[in-house]
Parts: sequence; structure tokens; C-alpha cells
Amino acid sequence: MKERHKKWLLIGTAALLMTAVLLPVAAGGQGGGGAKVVEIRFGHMWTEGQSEADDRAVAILKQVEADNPGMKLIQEVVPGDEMRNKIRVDVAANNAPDMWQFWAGGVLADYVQKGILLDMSKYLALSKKVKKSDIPQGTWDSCTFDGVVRAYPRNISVGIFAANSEIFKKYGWAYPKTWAEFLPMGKKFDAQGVASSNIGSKGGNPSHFWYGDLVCQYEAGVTATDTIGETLDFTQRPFVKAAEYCDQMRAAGLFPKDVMANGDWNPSIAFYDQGNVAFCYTFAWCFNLMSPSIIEKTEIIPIPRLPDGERDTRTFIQGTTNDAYCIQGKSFDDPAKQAYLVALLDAVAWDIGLMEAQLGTIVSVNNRLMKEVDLEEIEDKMMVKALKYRIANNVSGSPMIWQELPNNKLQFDYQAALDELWAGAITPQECIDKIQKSMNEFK
Amino acid sequence: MHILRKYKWAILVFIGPVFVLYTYFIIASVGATFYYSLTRWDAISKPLFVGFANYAEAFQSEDFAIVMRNTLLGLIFSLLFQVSLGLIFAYLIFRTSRGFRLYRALVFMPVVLSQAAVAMMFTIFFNADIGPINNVLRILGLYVLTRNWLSDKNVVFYTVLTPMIYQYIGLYVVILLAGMQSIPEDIIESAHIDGASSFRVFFNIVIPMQLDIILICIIMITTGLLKAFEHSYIMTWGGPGVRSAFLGVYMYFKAFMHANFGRASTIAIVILIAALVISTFFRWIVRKLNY
Repeated sequence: MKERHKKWLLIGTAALLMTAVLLPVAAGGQGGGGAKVVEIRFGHMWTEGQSEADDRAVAILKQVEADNPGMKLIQEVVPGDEMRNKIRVDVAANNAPDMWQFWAGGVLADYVQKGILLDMSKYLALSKKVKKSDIPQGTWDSCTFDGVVRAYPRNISVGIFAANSEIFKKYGWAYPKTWAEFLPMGKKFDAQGVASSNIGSKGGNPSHFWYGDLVCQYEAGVTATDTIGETLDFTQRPFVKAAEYCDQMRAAGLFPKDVMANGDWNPSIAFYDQGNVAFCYTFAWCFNLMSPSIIEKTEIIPIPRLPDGERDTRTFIQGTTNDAYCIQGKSFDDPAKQAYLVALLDAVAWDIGLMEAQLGTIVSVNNRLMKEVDLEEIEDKMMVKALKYRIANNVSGSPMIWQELPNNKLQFDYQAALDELWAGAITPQECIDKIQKSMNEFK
Repeated sequence: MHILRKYKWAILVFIGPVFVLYTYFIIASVGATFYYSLTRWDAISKPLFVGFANYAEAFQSEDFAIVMRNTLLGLIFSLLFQVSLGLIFAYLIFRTSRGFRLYRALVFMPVVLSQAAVAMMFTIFFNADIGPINNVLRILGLYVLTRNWLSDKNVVFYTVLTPMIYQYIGLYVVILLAGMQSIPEDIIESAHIDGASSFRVFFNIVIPMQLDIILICIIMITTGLLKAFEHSYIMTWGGPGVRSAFLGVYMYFKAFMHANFGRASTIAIVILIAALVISTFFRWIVRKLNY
């Protein structure tokens, strides 16, 4: 073969190689078949095959896609806290989804500041299924920044403190009402080989909720929590006292021995579910992990009252707006996407919300939607118990420190400090100092 | 030079694309990471140039000191156990006449398991409330040895290190075993004829002839440990606090929990430099031993 031909052959080979590499990349954004299809990317946490609620949610999303032939719904499923990482990386790469499931409160602040989130009044003006008046103003407040609503709230966190009634009956123990009755129980449980509680701490879960519940036993604690984002003062008395009481619980053996191994949501509920744990502290998103036999034995009781606690613990538990849906402002302003995003959030906020509420996996913040739910027909029996207890005792949700903290760093440092406090690695004062140091850095 | 000139088009065609991709994805990425390490950046707003402030803050941070200590201790223990046990197991298998393939497969099995699965398995083993380790110790009457393995600040680091070391011993056994199989059989036979015991063969023939392979293992252990993440994150979230965190976990926290990508890039550069320094140091030692 002549030298010139060889050269052209090589160039041709190189061109083919480059085409093979680049073609799929270039074709990545095109819909199949050449028809004009608008892609809507939705980041959510419903994993097909994981639970009945998840399966039904995904089916509703598929129905939305079928009802809107011009839309191709791209579902980006990321479970739990990993959604925070995904959105941050996506935003950094200028590749954020059009809509995503997130949380209410300070976790939204960075994105609001950078002008990424839609002014939700634009969506509410076009929605065919939900109205602003469906949701109490206090709930909207958790998603409001400088007077503008930036996310659509999804659910309230329904928590319970409960006892395994079988264990208490077996040993003839009474449920503790006060701190003085509560603290000595650690030794009693240990003597019988019973684990005290499932209140571990890994990544601050569920410890930061429990800590918040102790803080909110003080009138000043509620105010301090509500305003922590502005005062940035963690040395206030309720915070210090609650840390000291948590340390007392640790020393009295009222947490799991291994707070890390039995911390975080799923491990803590699995620990309780094995039947040899006296107290359970958990929230609605774990109810479906409880077996029917343990639900049968579980009796909801008030958190024991602190010696200097001022509020009646029968009437409150941690519980504010938990999750929220966000829409990217740029996407909503795109005329090609707007109608589809309205249809999608309508389906998510109403259809999926109603389905989940009826199954008992969430309590929606939408009062009109909750009126359509038949309490007796809720499938999750733990949720039925929790809701009946709430109604009977007129339980309200108390504010959550984590949610009021103004950014991710503070939230993380707060959670990590509680892990250390729970493990006895630091003293209550060191815990307060650590969190305050982080707040001082934020200032 | 003649060959290079003769095949310059072929070189351009076949090396060019790889060179471009490597430069873009590796060299440029390292350069970009270094640039970000000199900035304050939350990944949403524009990076703000702050010079070496991130490095200064990192080296003044108590948490960073704990993480560095964990990483260095982890490295020492990993080198100690993985290389020495790897050599011993590899030699035992090497000298085995029956069941060679079976032993090799068994020892390699943990390597193919997912790190997440192994971490979960060890989390259950070490669970102080319901795990088998404390239960066995209690049954044996060894109450004094029971611990809160994943929560006690004095032992949690070693607990997390255990599956990290365990899982990868098999990899080094297989690498070292491959090296041992390349030793000419007549050398070992003649040593035995001269009356050398297996022990002497191991120390006087096998180890000296394996130095280059050992160096590869050391470099792999070093780089693996410096970027260690899964076991620590899954078992304890690096905690309590950062007491069981390694540089990789700390970098993740800085990037995604603190939204401080500038500081996270600083940690990435520290990892890179540490890997280069430690690898060069061991290369130098091996070269000294070789000559």
C-alpha cells in the first residue's frame, strides 16, 4: 500500500473512532423517534420495588407521563439524605433537575440565595388541584424566604414516644411520667437483659429530634428554637440543660449501649422491632418498618417530664414541615416546560399525597387533602395509633432546631456534636461549645 | 527516532485521543482541583480566590489533626498486617501441593464482595447490643473484654479498620502469590538440597525476590487507605465526631455536608501529595534494598 493511502486510512480510522465516541454524547439530549418531546427531570425518593407506597407513587408518575404525550419524564431516584449531595453537585454543574423532592427550612437557603428556586405563587396561580389556602400559613412559613414561598411543603413529621407494653407487663413496671421515675429504669432494664430504648445517634438521627423534644419542654426552649437562625446563640439555657439531661440518660443506660450501631432511622427501628427494647422513639417514615406484632405491643406514652420542664409533654412532640418539593425557576419560566411542571407537581402534591396519606406513610400538610383520608381505613396501623393519640391529646408539633439552622454546615456540625454527646465522647458543655463555635464561624 | 518518524501518523492516531482524554480527565482535573483548593466555593456561587487560606485553616483544625492521625495509623496497621499476612498466606499457599486453587479462591473471596456489604456485616458483628462478638465474649465469661465497639471513642477507630484490613488481604495474597510463582523452581529446590528450611527459603529467597511486588502492594495499600471511604462512612459516619474518619470521609464531609468545596479540594490535594510522597519513599527504600 502506498504511503499516501496508508495516511488516509489512518485518518479514516481516527475519524471513525472519534465518531463512535462522540455520537452517543451528542445524541444524549435528543428524544427518540424525532418527535418533539419535552424532557422533564424529576429527582425523587420513591424507589420502585421498595414498598407498596413507592410502587404506587411511581405508577402515578407513569400515569402523568401517559396523560401528557408531549412530555418525557426522567425520574432521578436518590434515596434519603443523598438527595442533598445530588442537588448540590447538579447545581454546581448547571445541571439541576426541573423539579426535586427536598426538605423545608434552612436547607433551602443556599439555593434561594442563588436565585435557583421558583417563586411558588407562580405555580399556585396555575395549579388545578391545590390552593394556597389548603395549607396553614405556619407551614408555608417554613418554605418562605424574604416573604416569597420557595418550595411546596409535603408532610409533617409525626413522631411517637412509646413503650413495649409486653415488657412492662411482664415485669410489673409502670410507665415513667417524670424524670425521677425515668432515670433509674436503665438499671432495672439492664438487670433483666432488656435494652432501654432505641434512641441512638448516627448522623444525628434520631438523637437531634429527641434533643429538640427536651429543649421544647421549656417555654424559652420553643422561642430559642424558633429564633436560633437569627440569634445564633446555642449557649441559651434550654440548649445547655437539654444536653445535660441527654448526658444523664447516657450515664443511666437509657440509650442503646452502641448508640452508633443502633443509630439512624432504619437500624434504630430494627433494634426496637426485635422485641427486647423497652422504649421506642421514632417518626412516621419508620412506621412501615415495624412488624404487626410489635405494633400490637407498642403503646404511645408522653415523654417523661424534666424536673424543671414547663410544658405538658402529652401535648407536643417534634413535628414541623418535613419535606418539600422544589421547582427550578429557570425551568418553570420555559414555556415548553411550564404546563408539564404544573401537571407533575399537581399529581405529586395531590394524587401521590392522598395515596400516601391513605396508606399511612405520611401526614400531608394539606388540610383539604387530609379531610379526604378515612382514618379508620389507613393501612399503616402504627400511623392510626399515632394519629388517634394526637387527636385524643391535642398534640401539636414543636419546632425543630435542625430545620431552623441557617445552612448545611451548621446542621451537620450540630448532628455530629450530638453523635459525640450520645457516645460519651464529649461532655455536654463541650457539645454546646462545638455547636456555638460553628455558629460563630457562620456569623 | 527513525521508528517514531516512520510511524508518526499511527502514533498520532492511536495515542492522540488517549492523550487528549487523559490530559482532560486527569491532568486538567488535578489542575482544577488545585485551583479550587485556593478558593472559597460552595459549588453554587462563583469561587472566591483566598490563596492558601484553606491549607492554613486545615492544618490548624483539630478535626483535621485527628483525621490525619487516623489515616497515618491506618496506613501503618494496613501495611503491617496486609503485607505481612499477605506474604505469609501467599507462601503457605505457594508451598501447598493440594488444594492450591481452593485456598487461593477462599482467600480472595472477600475482595469481590461489595465494600458496603462487608461494612454492614461488620456493623452487625460489632453491634454491642445484639452483635455476636460481645455475645461470644459474654458466653466465654470475658465480660471485661466487651466494648461498645462502634461508639467507644477509644476503640471505634480500630473497629472500623478491622474490615478494611480483612477485606483486602486476599488481594495482596493473590498478587504476592503470582510473584512467588514466577520464582524459578530450581532456585528453591537447590536451596532445599543445600539443607535450607522453608523458613530460610522464605526469608532468604522469596522475600528478596519479591521486593518489587511488595512495593506494588505497598503503593496499592497506601493509595487505597488515603482514599478510604465506604467502611468508615457506612459503619460510623466517620464518628463519633471524626474519630473513625479517614481523609476520604473528611473530604466528603467538607464537600457535601459543609458545602465547602474549596476545603474539600484542599484535602484532595493533601491526599495526592501524601500518596506521591509515601510511594516515592517506599520506592527509594526498595531501590536501596535491591542494590
